[in-house]
Order: sequence, then structure tokens, then C-alpha cells
Amino acid sequence: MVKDDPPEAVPELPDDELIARSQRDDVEAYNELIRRYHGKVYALVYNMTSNREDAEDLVQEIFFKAFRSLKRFKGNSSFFTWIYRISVNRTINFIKKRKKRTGISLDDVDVGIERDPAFVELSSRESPFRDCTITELQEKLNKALSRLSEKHRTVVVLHDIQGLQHDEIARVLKVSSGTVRSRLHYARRALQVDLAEYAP
Amino acid sequence: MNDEELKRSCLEHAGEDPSPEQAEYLARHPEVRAEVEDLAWMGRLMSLKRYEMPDPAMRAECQARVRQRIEDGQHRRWWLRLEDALTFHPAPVWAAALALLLVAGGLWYHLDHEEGLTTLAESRPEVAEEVSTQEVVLVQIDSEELDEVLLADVAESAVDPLPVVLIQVASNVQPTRPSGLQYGPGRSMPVSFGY
Repeated sequence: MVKDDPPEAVPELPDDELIARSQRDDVEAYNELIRRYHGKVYALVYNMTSNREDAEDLVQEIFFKAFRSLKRFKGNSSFFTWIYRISVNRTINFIKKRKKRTGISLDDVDVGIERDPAFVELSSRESPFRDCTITELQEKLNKALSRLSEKHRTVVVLHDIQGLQHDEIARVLKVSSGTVRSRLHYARRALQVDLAEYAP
Repeated sequence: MNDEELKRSCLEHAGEDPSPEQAEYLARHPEVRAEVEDLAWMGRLMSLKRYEMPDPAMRAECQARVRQRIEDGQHRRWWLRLEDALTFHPAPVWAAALALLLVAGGLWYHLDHEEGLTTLAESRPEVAEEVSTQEVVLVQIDSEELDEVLLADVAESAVDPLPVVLIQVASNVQPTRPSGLQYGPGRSMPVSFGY
């Protein structure tokens, strides 16, 4: 149900206020929360699934289910941590169910990649990568990522791709920072096997 | 930290600025430094995935669909909402449902076995059928009170018309019922009858 207020423009409001309004079934306020977090949640789910159609459906499901659970959100963590936790759990459940159906369907790569220092370094090397296109690199990275276990893939996505700090990841996953570091270490070791041709 | 712990610490902090202790260890162990650099490179390589961009219209579509589902959901029937709850937070809801079931089961058991009585339909189906159209007063007594009740002169009763009185005798293996007669109206059915 859409409320008659708000007297204050919704985009100006802090997350706490938007959450409180959403908890009172204010769809406009929740719409603004989706606007703020859609990109991050989509990137998380997309990188976990390596499939844009699955990611699109899952993100809708996550935001819808989160709205239904929002009344139970007590503010003990930030909305960001809470929605990320829901997203990770939901996505891992999804991946486990679709185990036999591993189709890869990828988003387009932004041209900004060509200016990234890591990409520039790769391009300048005497390595197989010099003849490799961006699309081929994208497919290799996604295949390597999808071969990781769910918990290892999660930390790589959150840390290396999304740039979260170890303690932020620890809060999302409800584990210690040490566990996050350990998982990241093992995940990178596993990636080294699949991406040996791109090693320095 | 001993050397083994320092090595592990360096590997797990790959890609971060080393602490003075780690830096000193890495200076002494170039093979570990190379390993750390390889791991850090994997992190940088994976970070290239952040250039994969979704269709710009996707967010608006997501907002519209979620909004539609929320508004539709506010008119959904209660069992569909329960289904949603079960699929999203199965553990607490199932626990609550199980607890409710146990309470209901316990209550049913308690009532059904209260005072060791059986229903008339179960114990005397032919009588139950005969009196089904008449007002019935259920009287529950202990077995030792049975003679007293059977000898009572109901013709002197001031009640008119007389109801059908059903006497149920509690089993003597269930001694929990308080002694004495209990009369309706708690267990009577309003029906017409005539003697």
C-alpha cells in the first residue's frame, strides 16, 4: 500500500528513516532503498552465479523477500550488512539447487577495464594473455570463480571484486576476520591453478 | 610469532601493507615474498570482474517488479503468505508450527481423556441416534454413585418438560474426576422433544 506522505522527499532521507518507513509498508521508501543497494546486490549475486538472468531473478526475489522480513530488522547491523547477508544466503541456496545446470551468461564489460593498472600490466606482458581478448579473459575469470566452493567464492567476490574490508565481510558472513582471511588465502590458491597462464 | 606463524600471517595478508614484523620476515624469505605477490596478483586479476556491467534498465525493472509483488502480496491469502514465510525463514516458522501442533495435540489428548469418559456416540450409538432430536443433559458420575441415581424418582421433578438425561459413568481406572453430580448446561444441545 502506498502511503500519502512523505512530507520530506524520500531520496533525501537517511537509510534508518527509509527503513522505518518501509517497516510501515511505505513502498516509496523501500523503492529508494532498492535504488541505493541494487547495484551492489546485483554485482554480488551476478558474480556468485556467473549468470545474468539468474542474477536478475534472484535480486528481485531478494528485495521482495527482504521487504517481507523487514519488520524483523532491528537495526543491530547496518541495512547494507543485513541485505548482503540475505543475498549471500539466498544465492548460495540457489547455487546448491541448480548444481547440475551451470550455464554462464555474462554482462558486457565496461571499456574502463582497458585503463585498469592490472589490465595494462597484463597487456604489456610476454604471456598468452597478449593475444587474449577481453571477452576470453572474462570467461576464464568467471569459469575459475565458478569452480570455487560457495564459501570461497563468496569471500573472493566480496573482497577482491566488491572491495569490502575483512571485518565487513566477517559481519556479513557472521564469521571471524581470521576465517575470512583464511578462506581468501585458500580461494586464491585454488584460483592460481585455474589461472596459471595469467600468473606473473 | 614464530616463523611458521609469520609465514601464514604474510600469506593471509597478501595484497595488504605488511606490518614491520611481516616486512622483516619477508625480507629474510624471498620465496615467501614471491608467494605473497602471486596471491596478491590473483586478487588484482579477479578485481577486473568489476568492469562487468548490467543493463542500465535492470534496476528500474527490478524496482517495478518488486513494487508490484509487494502490492499484490498485501492482498494475498494467509496460506500463501505462510508459504512465503516457510520458504524464506523455514527454521523459526517450522519450530513455531511444531510447537503449536504439540500444544494442540496436548490439549486434545487432555480433553479427550479427561475423566476417562467416552462419547455417547462411541459407547451407545443406538441411543445416541434415538435422542439426537431431543434436549440432552449429560450427567457424569462415579461408578459408586450409579445406584443412587438409578433409584431417584424423576417423576417428582419440577422440570417440565423432562429432558433426556444421559448418564456417563467414569471408569474407575481414571480417578481424577471430582465426585458428585454435574448437570448441564455446558454440554446440552437445544432441540425440541416431547414425552
